Amino acid sequence: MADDQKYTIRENAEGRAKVFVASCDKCTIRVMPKWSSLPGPTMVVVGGRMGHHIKTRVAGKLWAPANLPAYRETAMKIAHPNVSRGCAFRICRGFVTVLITFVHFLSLTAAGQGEVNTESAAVVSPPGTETAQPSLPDAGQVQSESLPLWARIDAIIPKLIEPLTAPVASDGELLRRLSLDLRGVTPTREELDAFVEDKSPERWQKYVSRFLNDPMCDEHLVAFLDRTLMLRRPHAQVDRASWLNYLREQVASNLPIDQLSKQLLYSPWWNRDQRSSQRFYLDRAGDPNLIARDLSRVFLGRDIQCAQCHDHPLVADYTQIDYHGLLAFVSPSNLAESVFKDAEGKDQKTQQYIERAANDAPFESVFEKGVRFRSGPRLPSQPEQFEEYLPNADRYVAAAPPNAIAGVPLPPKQSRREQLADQLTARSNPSFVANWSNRFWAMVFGQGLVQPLDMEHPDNPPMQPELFALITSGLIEVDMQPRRFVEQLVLTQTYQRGGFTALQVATASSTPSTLTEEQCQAIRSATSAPADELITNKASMVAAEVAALAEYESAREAWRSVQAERATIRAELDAAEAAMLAAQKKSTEAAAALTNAQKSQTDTQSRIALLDESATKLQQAVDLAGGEDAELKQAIAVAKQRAEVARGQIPTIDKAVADASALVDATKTPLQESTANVQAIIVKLQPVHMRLLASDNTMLTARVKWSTAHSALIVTERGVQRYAHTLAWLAGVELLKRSIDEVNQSAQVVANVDAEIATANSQVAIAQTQIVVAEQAQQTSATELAIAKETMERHSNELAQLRMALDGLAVATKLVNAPGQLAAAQQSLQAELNLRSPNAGQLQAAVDTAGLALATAMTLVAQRKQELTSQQSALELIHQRLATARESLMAKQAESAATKEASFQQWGTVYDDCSQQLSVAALQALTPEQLCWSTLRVTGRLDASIQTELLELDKLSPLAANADEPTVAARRRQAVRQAYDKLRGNADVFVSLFASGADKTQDDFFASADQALFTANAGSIFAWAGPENNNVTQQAIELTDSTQIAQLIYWTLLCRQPTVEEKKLIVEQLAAEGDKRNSLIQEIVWGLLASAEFRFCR
Amino acid sequence: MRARYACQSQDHSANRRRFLGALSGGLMTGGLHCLTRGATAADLKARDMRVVVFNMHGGLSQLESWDPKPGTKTGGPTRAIPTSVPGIHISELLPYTAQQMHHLCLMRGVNTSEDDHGKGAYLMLTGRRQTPAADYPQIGAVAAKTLSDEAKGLPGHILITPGGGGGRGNEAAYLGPKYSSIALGGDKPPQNSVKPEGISDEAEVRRHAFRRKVNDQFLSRQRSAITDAFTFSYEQAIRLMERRDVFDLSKEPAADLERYGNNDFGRQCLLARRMLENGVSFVQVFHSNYDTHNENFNFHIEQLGEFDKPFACLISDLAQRGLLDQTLVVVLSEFGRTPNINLYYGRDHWSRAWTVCLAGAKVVRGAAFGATNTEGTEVTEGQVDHGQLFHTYLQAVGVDSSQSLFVDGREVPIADPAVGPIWKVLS
Repeated sequence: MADDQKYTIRENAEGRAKVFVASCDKCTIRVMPKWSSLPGPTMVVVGGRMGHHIKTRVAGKLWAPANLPAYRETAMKIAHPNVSRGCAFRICRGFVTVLITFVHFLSLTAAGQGEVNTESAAVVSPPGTETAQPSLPDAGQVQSESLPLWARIDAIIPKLIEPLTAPVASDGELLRRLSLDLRGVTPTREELDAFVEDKSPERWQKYVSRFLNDPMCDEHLVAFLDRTLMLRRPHAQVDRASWLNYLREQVASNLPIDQLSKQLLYSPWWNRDQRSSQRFYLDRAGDPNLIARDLSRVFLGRDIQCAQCHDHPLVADYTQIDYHGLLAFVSPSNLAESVFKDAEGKDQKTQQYIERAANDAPFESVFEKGVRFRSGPRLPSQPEQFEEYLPNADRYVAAAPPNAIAGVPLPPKQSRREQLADQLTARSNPSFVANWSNRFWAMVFGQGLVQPLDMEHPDNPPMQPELFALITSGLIEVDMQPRRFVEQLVLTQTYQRGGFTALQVATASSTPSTLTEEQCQAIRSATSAPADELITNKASMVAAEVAALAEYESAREAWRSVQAERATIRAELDAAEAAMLAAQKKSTEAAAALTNAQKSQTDTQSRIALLDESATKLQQAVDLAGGEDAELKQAIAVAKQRAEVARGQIPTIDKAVADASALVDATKTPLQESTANVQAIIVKLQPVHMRLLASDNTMLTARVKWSTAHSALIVTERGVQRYAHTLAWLAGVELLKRSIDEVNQSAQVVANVDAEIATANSQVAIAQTQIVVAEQAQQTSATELAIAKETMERHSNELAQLRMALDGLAVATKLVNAPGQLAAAQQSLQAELNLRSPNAGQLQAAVDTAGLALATAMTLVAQRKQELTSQQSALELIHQRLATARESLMAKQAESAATKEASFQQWGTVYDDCSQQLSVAALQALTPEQLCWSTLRVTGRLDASIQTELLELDKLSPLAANADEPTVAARRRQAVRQAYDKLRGNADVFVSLFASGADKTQDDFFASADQALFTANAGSIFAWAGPENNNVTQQAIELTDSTQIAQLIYWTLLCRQPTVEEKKLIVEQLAAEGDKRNSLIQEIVWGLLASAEFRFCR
Repeated sequence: MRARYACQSQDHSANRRRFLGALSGGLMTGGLHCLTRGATAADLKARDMRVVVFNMHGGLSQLESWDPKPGTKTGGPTRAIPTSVPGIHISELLPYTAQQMHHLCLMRGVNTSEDDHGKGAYLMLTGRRQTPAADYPQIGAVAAKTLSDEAKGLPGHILITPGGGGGRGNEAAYLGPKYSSIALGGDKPPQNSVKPEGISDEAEVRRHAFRRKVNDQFLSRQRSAITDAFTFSYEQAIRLMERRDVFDLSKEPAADLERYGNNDFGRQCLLARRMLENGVSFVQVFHSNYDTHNENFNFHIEQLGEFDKPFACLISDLAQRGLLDQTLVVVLSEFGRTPNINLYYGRDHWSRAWTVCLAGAKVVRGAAFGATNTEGTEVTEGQVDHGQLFHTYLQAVGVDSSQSLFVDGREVPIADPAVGPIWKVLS
């Protein structure tokens, strides 16, 4: 998936030309170019099954972006099979589309030379090209035989540098992995405790062998074989119990996988004893096409279904002849009904997968109508087998074999099915051995060295070719016994690697990578080797590949012409055989007619003789009696007349005999001629067969040579890609670092502005206080002014009254003429007035002063208010700055989140690369069965059920107290089998939800809502998490300390101790409601069962 | 409301394509007086399209349903009745449906040349002939992929079967199990969509919150594409639980249930309506069993008697609620049944001349496309096959069927590129 994301199509790119190329009713091929801004001479083709990529190199200048028309034309040539035979490559898989994209190879042309001209390069075989195909095992060739296989595996894996190589996993993680891989269940807590306690140096070896001998290992291997061989197809012909018991027996007896395969592919089909071992055929309904596909898919690791109708349009190495060669092995077989007597003597119907004598049908490519081919039985990697020609009367055995069901057809003398079983499963068949070693490797390591497991071809070579060759020969070293092979794999150091810890946390968390510059540099230089190699060897590798391809293509052409010749002669043979059969039929008919005629002749003659004789006898009687008996005379006349009639018929009958005899003679010649003709054609066919064999051999040799060269190129290119991934990741980490810095800076700016706001706020507060003070002062001044004014007013009122009184007195003085008293009053008033008058000036001054003070106070208030306004507007400005700063911070944070996500994606790619390089454990999802049995185990259900079965068995037949170890082990094995059979209904539910549909590849992971609904809400899982039989929940309930509860549950379910945060989480969870402790603990156990960590294994 | 017709031009008569009633079927003549409550089209986005398929399991007789031949050697006792579209007659066993004819489009010239149940079902649902060399997704999976909006939190592919069987299998082929159907047993909601008994609402929230926290702890150390998919599946599940009422038939008015007929098929149709209204993009309803090798006529009276009214109600309701413009309705089988009536008054498998009924979305209304001869033994006009129909289904809901799907970077033609849609029935 990660790869696909890199090759998304640019919508508006001018180069997005879509070229619809060809279609049959099964495949559609499109070629769609995508221009990269980085031109280069290499093209990558992405396609194939989900998540799978096939990369094909294109040499030459043609692919420069500027050259669109030429590109189109060539794209047509590439994808159109008619033209493609002469073309430099073919592209990936059927009914899929091809995305073509250029990858960055600027580094290759760094010297500024422009495009690499591959045409002129010399043909030099690059180093390492011999490793793409698994070399055939050869006792003398196996290196360092003294070292065990596991040690050689460790030694052959190229070491990556420390930061990209994970340390050994923790004890709990190790044991969980080992137990899941060998037994299909998680370990018990007792096993975990003992493992941790065990300090002996041979601890690992001890547990490996203990788990391998556990009966659960048998169940796990049986499930693996069932899934691999039958792809969860339904049980139609062979019931499940018989099939599983059959597999159990084979697993228990450590039957080598090649012998098991051979049994599955051939066993006597004419009786009912070995039906279970025929399930591979029977439950594929005997459909030859389905079987041919699955023979290749299951046993050879190559899904060549697309090659049924034409050479695979996208995988150069999957050819139509491979498909039809395989088909020829099984096309004479089909399901047929027969009837047998059951134990009670009643008739029962059964379907048997019977075999008839072969008669190969011609086939043609849907793209090349009219060009017909034939193929006899032929394995993809081996030349065609030519059978001895048997006349049709001689093709079946003469008598039914012993134990054959009455009425089944006789078996043919030449059994192609038997040939298939012999040849396909031979240890000298590299694809077969490699397929099984890859499948067992994937079972243990979570992914195959060739991935997908059934897509092995030169565009998808093994991740580590040397290692692949080693394990392939290694499988034979251990006699192809699954248990022994798996043992070697889990004993490796490589197997015991953990995941990345600090490094990954650094990338995934918000803090930037803790990688030092030295480490980065080390990572760069450690991963740059393939790129360097490619720079050095590219031209020669490409040239070697191109030359090998040319050789292969010309060998193919030669083979095709011989094939065409053979097809013609075979067609003649068909016609001649048909003519011979017709002649035979005529001859048989003529002979029968002659026999009839002769019989009729004999009959007539004997009848005449009888009539004559009776007439003679009667005459004698008449003569004796005196010749007067009328009745006798009458009888004589009748006899004579009848004899006469019969005599009259004789010429006709004689003629008929003669005619028939002539006809017999006449048919002899055509029969002889047609037989001779058949013989002649068979003779004529012989040299053609010999030439075909020779050309097939030449072609196969050339094919291996080409695929080796091509694989080497792909392997190198993968290395370059890994380098690019690493560079991108390191750059991403830098970017993330920078981005986090920027976020921090922005946050600092926000903090600074916040601080400014605090200052400004306090200033505003001060200003506000000052205003209050000033206003108070103003208030005081105003009051004082008012008082002064009032005083002054009162005073002037008094003065005015005095003056008025004085004036009145003066008038009165004039009128009354009594000046004395009045004058005294006037004087006293005058004196009073005089006394008070100067006060007016003082009062006025006081008023003036007060007025002045008020004015000052008012000015101050105004000033303070103005100051406040300015403070406030300053504050407003700071607030605006804060908003801007916050916005900028959010933008930076969003940007940083995106960078983090990108960095996470890049890290994911690097992680995948590292896990392919085996420097870190890959994260793998548990199979549905593993998930079910593990859930049942951690909740105590599985072991309780085994105990129950043991008790039951002991009740039926108690074991002696001194029973020896094998007896006890056998008893336990029996109990485990019974427990698994009883609990299998649960596994079926898991399979129905967590497994891909029948017939689909069973190793793709997917997560869907109904799985989650099941885990969340199906009564069973939540109920299993409840307390029972002293299981983990029960034990946790009895503990009081929340931390201890956390430790117990994490250790039992996830095989590790909780972190500090996790302990805290459990404590918090349990503190939620004290009175519902039991259900809280049940919820906790369920929560862990439903967690990602339980679903996966590293 | 005027029915929309694409084919009133001279070209079509010149092409000998016949649209009965093309001029007169535009009047609303719905005879059921169905209620008009519930969601209206205004609530839904214009491009919000969906599909409902009625799978007449076993092989519906075209002669007893869409293409009766009364009074002929092969017609049997079945009579034809007029419909809401003058000129189009269908079987008397579908009186309610006949009143909805102005919404329907009969494809009377179907020839699929496949008389095997399994293979016939495969080609009708995938639009391609079955071959051991490849597998194709069913229309439901394609609809879920192209029409479904994940944000709604609803499954995009629903299968209603009497017992709830089916599901997963291989119906999504290369699209992956994500688009496989969720099977509903009869009118019951999806399996496991209710929290286990004995868990309080509070505990339910608590345990999922705890689960998330436990996960977050792990994911902060180890996160990858597969763990992301795992996390997402739980979020999907919880959204589905939140929207469980979409599958709860008891939320529908009792009067509607009465109207649809309170029987299995009626309830399933009402549930289908409820789900479509709530935005489920694909529903397939099984109606079984039409494999009438014996007693064809009695069986069809019984089966179609059950089918007719609920189906007509659904069509009418969808139309009145404005949903029919956004919903493609398809009534299909694996094949039709023989014109010849066998010794047991049965009809056998017959794929050379039979009928598929379409309605809604961009399909023209009130039309009959193609025809068979007098005795129904051959297609005489407008012959179509499964591949063309498959293109047409997709085009009717606005999916360009000539396009390809991108599946994990792979490009796969969405429908058989050898054929194309039947443009004449698309408006």
